[in-house]
Amino acid sequence: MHEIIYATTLASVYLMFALGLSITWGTIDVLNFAHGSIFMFSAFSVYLMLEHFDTGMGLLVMVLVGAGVGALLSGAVHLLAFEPLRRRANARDREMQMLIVGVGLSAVPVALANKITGGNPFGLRNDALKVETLHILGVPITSVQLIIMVVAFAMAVAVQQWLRSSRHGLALRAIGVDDETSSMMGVNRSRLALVTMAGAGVMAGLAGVLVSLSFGAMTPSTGDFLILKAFAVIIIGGVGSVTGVVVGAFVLAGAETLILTFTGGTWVDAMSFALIFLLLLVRPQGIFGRRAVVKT
Amino acid sequence: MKRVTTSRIAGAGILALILSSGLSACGSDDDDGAASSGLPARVTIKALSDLTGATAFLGKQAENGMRIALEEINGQKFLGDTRLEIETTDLGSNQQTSASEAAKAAADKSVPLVIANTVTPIAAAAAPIMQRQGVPFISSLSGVLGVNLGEYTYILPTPVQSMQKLAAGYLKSKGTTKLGILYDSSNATQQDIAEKIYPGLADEYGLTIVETIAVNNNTVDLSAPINKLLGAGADAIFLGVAGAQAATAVQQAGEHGFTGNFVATAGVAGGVLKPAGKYAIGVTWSNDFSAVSTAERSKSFTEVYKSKYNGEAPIQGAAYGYDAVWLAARAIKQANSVNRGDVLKGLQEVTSGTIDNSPRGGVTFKDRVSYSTGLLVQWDGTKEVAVPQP
Amino acid sequence: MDFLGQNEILVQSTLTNFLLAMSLLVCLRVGVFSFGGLACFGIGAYFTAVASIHWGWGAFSSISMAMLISMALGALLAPIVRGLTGLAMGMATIAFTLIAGVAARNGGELTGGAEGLFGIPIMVGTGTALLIATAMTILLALSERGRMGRMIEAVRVDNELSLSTGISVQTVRFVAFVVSGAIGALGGGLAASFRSIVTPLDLGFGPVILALTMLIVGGARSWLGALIGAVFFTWLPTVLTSVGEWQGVVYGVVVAAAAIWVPGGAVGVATDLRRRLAVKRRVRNAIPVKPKKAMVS
Repeated sequence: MHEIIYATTLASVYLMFALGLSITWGTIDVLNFAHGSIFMFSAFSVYLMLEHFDTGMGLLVMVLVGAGVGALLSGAVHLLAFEPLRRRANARDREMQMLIVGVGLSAVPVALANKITGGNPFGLRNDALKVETLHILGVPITSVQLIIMVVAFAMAVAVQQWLRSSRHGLALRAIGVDDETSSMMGVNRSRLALVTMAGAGVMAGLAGVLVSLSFGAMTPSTGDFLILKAFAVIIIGGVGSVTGVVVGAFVLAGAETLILTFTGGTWVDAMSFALIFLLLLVRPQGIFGRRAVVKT
Repeated sequence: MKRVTTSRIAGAGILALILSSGLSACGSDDDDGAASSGLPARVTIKALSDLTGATAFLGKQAENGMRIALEEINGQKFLGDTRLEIETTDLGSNQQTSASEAAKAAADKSVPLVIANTVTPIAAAAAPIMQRQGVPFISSLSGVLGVNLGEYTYILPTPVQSMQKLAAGYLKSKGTTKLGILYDSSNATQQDIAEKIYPGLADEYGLTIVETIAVNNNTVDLSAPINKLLGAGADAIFLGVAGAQAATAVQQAGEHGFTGNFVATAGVAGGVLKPAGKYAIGVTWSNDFSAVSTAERSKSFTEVYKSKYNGEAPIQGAAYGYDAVWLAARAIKQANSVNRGDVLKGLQEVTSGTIDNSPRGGVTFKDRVSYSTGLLVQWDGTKEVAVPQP
Repeated sequence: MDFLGQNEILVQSTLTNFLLAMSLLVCLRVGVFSFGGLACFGIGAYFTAVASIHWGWGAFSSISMAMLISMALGALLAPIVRGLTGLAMGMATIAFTLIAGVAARNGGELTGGAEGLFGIPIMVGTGTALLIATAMTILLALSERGRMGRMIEAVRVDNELSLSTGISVQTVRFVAFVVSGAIGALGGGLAASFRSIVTPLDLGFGPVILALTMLIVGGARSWLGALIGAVFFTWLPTVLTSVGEWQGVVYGVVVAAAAIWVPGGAVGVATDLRRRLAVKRRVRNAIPVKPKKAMVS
């Protein structure tokens, strides 16, 4: 029983982190590996404010600042790197090039944060913030963990609804299916892409603040550690599918928690990667993917 | 490219260095320095330090420690009229840079000795080159077997085995018997402590290891492993993780209602536990050096360090850096030569006795590895405090 | 202070990185985004280490055995992942590599745990390695020409079309996996002997990124791309030590900029330029009736 709760809290962290990454990949075809360092740097900016003003900050203020920084960074990355890349690269090589661009860019915030902290962890908990511990089925859950669960699922539902029902969502899905035709039908691709990237940045920032509050601390490389997990979550679930991200997050978190519970922990990574490997063999497009991950 | 640690080196200085080393090599005695003593006017040793990257914190501390030692050595004319200098290259916490810079230093025959201020995987890339090329090598931050490869290598950190005995003694004095172990299996030192050292110490200190759980350095959520440790009935936890994971583990254990003792490694020194707030109160670890040590020599070093570096407190890295340079200077003085073979003999001779000016207290060497008694340090929620020996 | 003495390690790393890049390239140029070569690099390094340290094997026997094992692995892996394409193939083979990494970390005395194995004797000189790498390059360059070259290009560009012209796509891919394993293990074996140390980091995410960066920036079509990428990214960190505090930032920006502004890699840019010039020349020399637009695309 306990394991279900641990798996759920971990899954909501993965979900929160991976959702923005999956949406931009599935709709505007941007695979942003800098997502992890945007996540980290949003939380880091809040930390710098806490240090600089030497005052407490409530949850709402922190979340707003984090989301704002995330949106700005993500938008900037899009304008400076992914737009020019899209104009230049041919469709076949683009995904790999984007991967490298993202990896390269993510080194920049990490290096900045490393310079300021010397690689030491930083945390956001402060006096103005009350974190309480509740017990569900005997498992202690902090209020921050509860908030993460609620926000992660609310985010998933909202994004799903938005993609399904709003005009923007329709246009975005159209881009995902056929870029050129949709722009001929009057979809302003670049503006919509920017908005989507900024939205993914908001999610990254939100996740950065909440996750670092929940775990108490983060280092400049925490985002890099999570990006590989998020990549796995998306591949498992299927690119561009919101349900897929949710399921992928649960599969990975569930597998990790279970293996950890029943073994000494040294083989957790091997077994979760083996699971990913097997899943891919059975269903290369992911559980909820409609198309192959890459069109050959 | 290089950062020369003394402020006075300029073009002229470098020219002088080239000239003097050239002259001394020819055995000419119109050298204006200390020809009679066998040493040139300037001796430059090489330092490979992590000044940027993920482990820059330790590398910078070591660098600062080196500078203090250097000022003392040149200030008191320890080498007579010979001026000691250090040329530092930043490795950027990168393994390959470590190997290639080590090779460069080895190829430059005017370098009598190399100091590495870098952590295990990066130091391990440089060590085989030093050993192979016969360059006297002082590893100030890493002491694993893969770095300690043979006669040319001198290791400064006291072996973790000896350090963890202090921590185990602390647990014994607190009357704990059931130990749970949480460790990062991607870190060689932590793996060694968790899988070999504690099982070996358990009997002697009356500990039963109730559960050992490995995590990876990319595990962000530690609540499930913590729950497993507590479920096994642990009343003390060895915290074999560093950085953010240490803070997270302590916090999550606190949220799970854990009130027992935590012991850790020096990897949690330097404010790592700060983010965990009140939950981290009482976490105890053993260390070679701490700014809060009550020993006279440690206190005086801490004062000098703080006044030189804007009030920043030194951690063990600073003490190792300081010791490394003094060790090098003693060896060079003993050798009375910058020839590598002579310097190695110098190292062998000066490490046969006790070294007493170390910020770590009395330091002895056994098989080229330095030992100090160490001390127990505790986090009180906002700062480190010294713990009286049990 | 001779150049080679000071930079021998960099020359050696360039050679082994080049072999690593080539092993991925063998798969990439038939349109398979596989990191199997990387896994074989790590496995080759570990096998060479284990054989030379624990069993006292020499260079030739340990490295050639490592190559055989890796070829067998490639042959086993190829049919298993035959249904995968694109990033799914990438993820599956990365997963395979990381599983091998965890195994190395948990291999106890045999693999040395998290610390890895050290004290591997130097068994191969830089000159010998240079010869081996040159031989590999020549073989690869030959396969890029003539009938073989056209076949490989056809499989990369269009599976169905190649099938319809009688090329067995699965056979070509199978061979690519096996050859990639061999080159990867060769590079790994040499790297182990040069560095005298192997660690689980050699089977981690770091080398995945390095290998990919070399190929994307150099060019993922020919051996020349692999060479350019290997030289550039082996020497860049050393060059950047002069940037001091900001080397991490500069490295990231250089990588990103190269991936954006050098589409198809350095070799791709050169080819584009040459083609464009050729087209211009041809258009100029042609009888000005109707310029063929199709040629430009």
